[in-house]
Amino acid sequence: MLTAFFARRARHLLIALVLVSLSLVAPAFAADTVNVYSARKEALIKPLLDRFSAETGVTVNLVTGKGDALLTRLQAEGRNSPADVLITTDAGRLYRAQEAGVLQAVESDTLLREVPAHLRSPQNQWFGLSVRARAIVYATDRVNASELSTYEDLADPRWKGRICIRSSSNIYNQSLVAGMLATQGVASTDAWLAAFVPNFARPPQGGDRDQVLAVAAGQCDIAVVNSYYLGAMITSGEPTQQAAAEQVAIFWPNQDGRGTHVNISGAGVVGSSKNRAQAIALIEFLARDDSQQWYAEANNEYPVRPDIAPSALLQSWGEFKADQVDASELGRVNSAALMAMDRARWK
Amino acid sequence: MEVEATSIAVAVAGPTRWQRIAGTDTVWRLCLLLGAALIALPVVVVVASLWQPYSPVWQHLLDTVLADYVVNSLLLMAGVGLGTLVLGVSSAWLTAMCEFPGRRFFTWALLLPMAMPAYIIAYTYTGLLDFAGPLQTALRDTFGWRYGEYWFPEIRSLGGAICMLSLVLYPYVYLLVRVAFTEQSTALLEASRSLGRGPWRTFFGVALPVARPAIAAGVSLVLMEALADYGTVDYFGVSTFTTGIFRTWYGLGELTTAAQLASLLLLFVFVLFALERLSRQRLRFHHGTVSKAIQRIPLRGWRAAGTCAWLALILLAAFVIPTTQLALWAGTHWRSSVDAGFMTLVSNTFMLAAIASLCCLAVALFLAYGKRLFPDWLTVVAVRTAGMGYAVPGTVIAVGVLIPFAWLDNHIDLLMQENFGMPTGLLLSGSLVALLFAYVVRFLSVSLQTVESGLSRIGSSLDESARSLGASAGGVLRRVHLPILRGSLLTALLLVFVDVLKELPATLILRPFNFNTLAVRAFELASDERLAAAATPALAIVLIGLLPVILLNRGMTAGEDGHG
Amino acid sequence: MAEHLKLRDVSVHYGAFTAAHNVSLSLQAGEIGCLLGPSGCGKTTLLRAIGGFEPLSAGEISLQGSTISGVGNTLPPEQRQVGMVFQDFALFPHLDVGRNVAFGLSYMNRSQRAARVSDMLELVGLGQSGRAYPHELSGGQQQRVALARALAPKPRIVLLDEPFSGLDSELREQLAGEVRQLLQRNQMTALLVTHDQHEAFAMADQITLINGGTVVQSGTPDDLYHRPIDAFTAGFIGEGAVIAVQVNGDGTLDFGLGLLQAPVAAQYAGRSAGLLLRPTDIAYAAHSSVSLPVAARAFRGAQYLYQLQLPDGQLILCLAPVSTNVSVGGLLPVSCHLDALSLFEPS
Repeated sequence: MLTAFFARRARHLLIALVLVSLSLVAPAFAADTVNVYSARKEALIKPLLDRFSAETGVTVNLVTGKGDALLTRLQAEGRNSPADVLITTDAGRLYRAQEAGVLQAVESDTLLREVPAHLRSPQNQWFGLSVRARAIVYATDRVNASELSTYEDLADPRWKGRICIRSSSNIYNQSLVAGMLATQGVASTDAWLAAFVPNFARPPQGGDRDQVLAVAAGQCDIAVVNSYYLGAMITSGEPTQQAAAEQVAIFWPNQDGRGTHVNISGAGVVGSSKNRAQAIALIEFLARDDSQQWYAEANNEYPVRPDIAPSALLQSWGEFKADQVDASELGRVNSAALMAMDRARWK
Repeated sequence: MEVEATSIAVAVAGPTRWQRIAGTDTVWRLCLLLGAALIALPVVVVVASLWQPYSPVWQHLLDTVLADYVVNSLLLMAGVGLGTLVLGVSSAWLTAMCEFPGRRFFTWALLLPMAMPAYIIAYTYTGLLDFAGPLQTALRDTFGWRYGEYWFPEIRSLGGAICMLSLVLYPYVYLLVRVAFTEQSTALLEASRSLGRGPWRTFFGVALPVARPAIAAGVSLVLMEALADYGTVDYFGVSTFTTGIFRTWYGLGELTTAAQLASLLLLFVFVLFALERLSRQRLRFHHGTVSKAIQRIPLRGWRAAGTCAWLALILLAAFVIPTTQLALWAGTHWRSSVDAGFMTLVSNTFMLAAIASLCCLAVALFLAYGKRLFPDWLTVVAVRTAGMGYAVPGTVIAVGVLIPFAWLDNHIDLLMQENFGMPTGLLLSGSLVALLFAYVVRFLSVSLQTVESGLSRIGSSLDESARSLGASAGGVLRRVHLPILRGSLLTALLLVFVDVLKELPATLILRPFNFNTLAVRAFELASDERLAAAATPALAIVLIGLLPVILLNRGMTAGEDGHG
Repeated sequence: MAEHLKLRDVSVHYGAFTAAHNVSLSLQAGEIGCLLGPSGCGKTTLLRAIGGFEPLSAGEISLQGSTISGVGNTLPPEQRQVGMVFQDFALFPHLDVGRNVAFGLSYMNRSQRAARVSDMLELVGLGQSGRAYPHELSGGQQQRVALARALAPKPRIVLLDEPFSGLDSELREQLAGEVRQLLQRNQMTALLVTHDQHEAFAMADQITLINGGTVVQSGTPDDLYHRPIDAFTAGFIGEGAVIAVQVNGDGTLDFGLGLLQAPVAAQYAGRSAGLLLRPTDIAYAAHSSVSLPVAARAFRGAQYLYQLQLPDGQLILCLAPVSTNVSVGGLLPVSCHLDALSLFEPS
């Protein structure tokens, strides 16, 4: 009785489901649409996409996910993939997408003009849309800013047991080491890692905010974190997070040399795109003045365009010199960076 | 005996009927193998990576991190296995076999932690117990301690991960073992008592070993889930085999090597469970059909108080504290989270979970029953393989689904275009069908184990008597097993329901455009380190999870309380 | 001789339900007793009370002179040294036969235990089956294992709960005889619970008939068969019919098979009563003046069991040689030979 009931229901449900899912896939092929695979979280992209729809009348369909997973999905779906635009949150994934051949070159004067050359692919297959910096955060009561200078200096024994940083599984740490590899080569990077890792105050754990909290609580004196997490803590409206953020200050390392390490979020047009014009229009829209402003501010990032001013909060942290290393170079050496971190037992 | 029975059947039924029976059996077997093969396909796709060339990255892994992965995964398994065993078996025994004030309440309340995603409980406890958290801060403020001047258990550690996973996974053991205890013949326990063994020795010497199939089923579910866990161990910075798979894929960009690692994990699990089964091959645990109303041991005084305290402690740690923390977080943020879109999230999540659990149950019944009918090695291996998806991280399963589905879609498209000039595009990829299929692959094991452990407690004489009364194989299932198994079926249904509620990685990769679930929303916010904002969807998952738990409670206690 | 087992005014309640009320009985050492009664009469409850599984609401149970159960004072089962054989044998499915038998021998060392197990298995004729698992044995073999297991720790008394009910009738009688011999050879005191009088007769020295939770009659099998104290006992034990009769004023009685001359029933003089007639009480007599119509008959090998109708319509039983061969509806000439007259209050 029970199963007979379930079986009958299940069959109806399944049929209904197939129909529903087909109808859900269908919009992907409708005329005026653009389909986005985004590694940037929904909350940080959806409002902009909605604005794009309102302005142009183009429907935007969105799937979010992790960069590599979306890339794998694109590759598996191949020439029939419904995706038109791929958005990722670091250069490494954009580089991989280009290597995998799932992106196409875009001839857009707007994009070439607005996005600085080192923040887009040399083949014009992807374009940076925002910049995030990996900065040093220090406890103002225990560390004097004059003691800080460069990432390289963090390997000095005087920092022993004073540094908090998250796991090497984190892409921004991989990218940081990739930046070092790209500029200084394998041998000196290995040497740096070998001295830097033993300086950790605790085994790597948690997210970037946790590192800031640990500095504020006194578990360590400095932490290496993405600037936007500190911004997010300050604007979070949560007393504990704000209190912690107030006990620390931000420091831009390597200002006398190559500059502070930065990574980008960016987008490219999918090779098999059936809505190429709309896809390009969307990326151009994301590079527009007002979009850039929102896109950067939503996540406390820096706009990719030098002519757009960052948010007031970011301005209060002062200007800094960013490392000009080519973003695609970061992607190219990303796996080598992780292997170097493995060798140094950076968990 | 078997041969005799067959020849009698031939003699009685005559050749035509016999041939017809043989024909149905062949169809059954064929469907069975095909069905199992289909479900096993994603796992096979993953395992097929073992035949692909081995990248030089392997040498690097062997030199540096692989040993860590293996050791940590083994420790995690041992710890979580032991933890869930202690929590699950003790709570099952107390609520099934003892009578004390509050027993009915605990019977269902102990299931509540099931609805708590492991990574969410990890976040809440980190918020509380971390160095920067309120508890340690208060300690420091009170006693004037500073960092390094006092000892406090580090929550973000292997031990912490074991605790977190044990707290949310023990209900699997509790649920399955409790059913086994209630169905155990009380005469066995009395026999042991009359042979001079006290209550404790009877528990360890008889009740526990006799409940072994259920314990094995529960613990193997737990172990598979623990092995596949990514969120908790990643957050705690514990490098396990699974975090290793993702580092290799995401960090090193080596999908093939990652799949090869996943295959090794699978082989390990396969061998482990094969050994367990082998070790009890000669044993039969079903015990006639004598079933009496349970006579619970009345507990009074300090025993009752101790029991209540222990169960309350479990409940507090696994549910009340994390839920309260979530509610506090959600309290500050729910206004911005609960909008029209939120209700869509809720209904999406609910629909998916409901349909997926029905699909899983149907497939599990089909396979478990088929295996009972034809317990030859081919069927057994096919069904086992189909049930392996649980040990594989959801993302890896998703890739295993993605690749064959897209391949099929692209070939259909090509075929239609060449023959009819009618391209079809992707039919299944990126649809809910693919997602549901992935759920079945991933969670089949849950329903399969539950149904099988239910079936193992039905003696084969029942099958035989029903068959001899003219019932077909399907008839036996429908008229004999299903009514007897109702409790197990309900359990299977609801376990999968709750699992799908929490499921994240496969949903993330396979879902269609503009389709989100509560788990996806909670994860997106949490991975952006916006824990407070993530609390509302996480709390919604827990609340929806209450629904099946209440249903399950009704199913569980119906019929076991009417003793005279 | 002292009483080995003694129940004094024992009552057991389940909530408001009285399972046993004011039951007293005793067994001498080496004696085999039996609690006989219809199902649901409370006999199993009494057995379980002796085993220590049911608390008493009144009375006392003592074994070898010391109290093992009183009100609010129940010695745990494991401290009683009471062996039990369960209806479904309750063999541990996870242990082989040898370890089942060894289960209660944990006080012995390894070699003692092994010797005892093999002795016990020899005793029940299962010397070769030590490594088999219970489900690999036949019902009769399982029964013997259960007995061996109960006897192995040398209990002070063995309790057997419907020990043969799961077996076929042929095996049942054979085993009952074997078990009795085995118990007697080992000078075991035993108490058996059954609803089957044949089992009771085959096994027991003393039978206590229970109905509705109270003792109806206690005595040897012979007492119970030939001197039942009421219609229930008469009806429950042995075959026979209780018919309503009118006792004459002088104590003689007349019931359609002729007048019984002896004034056997003084206390019923001038009243109606119930009279027990066993099938052996009514004999075939070729030349008898009384012939009764046959209402039904059952073939019993050498004999027919006839059901005969008295002139007033009541039915009685008669065991007659198979040569009589009177079919239903025919007349059978009979005479009445009462060894002992059993008269009861009319029902």
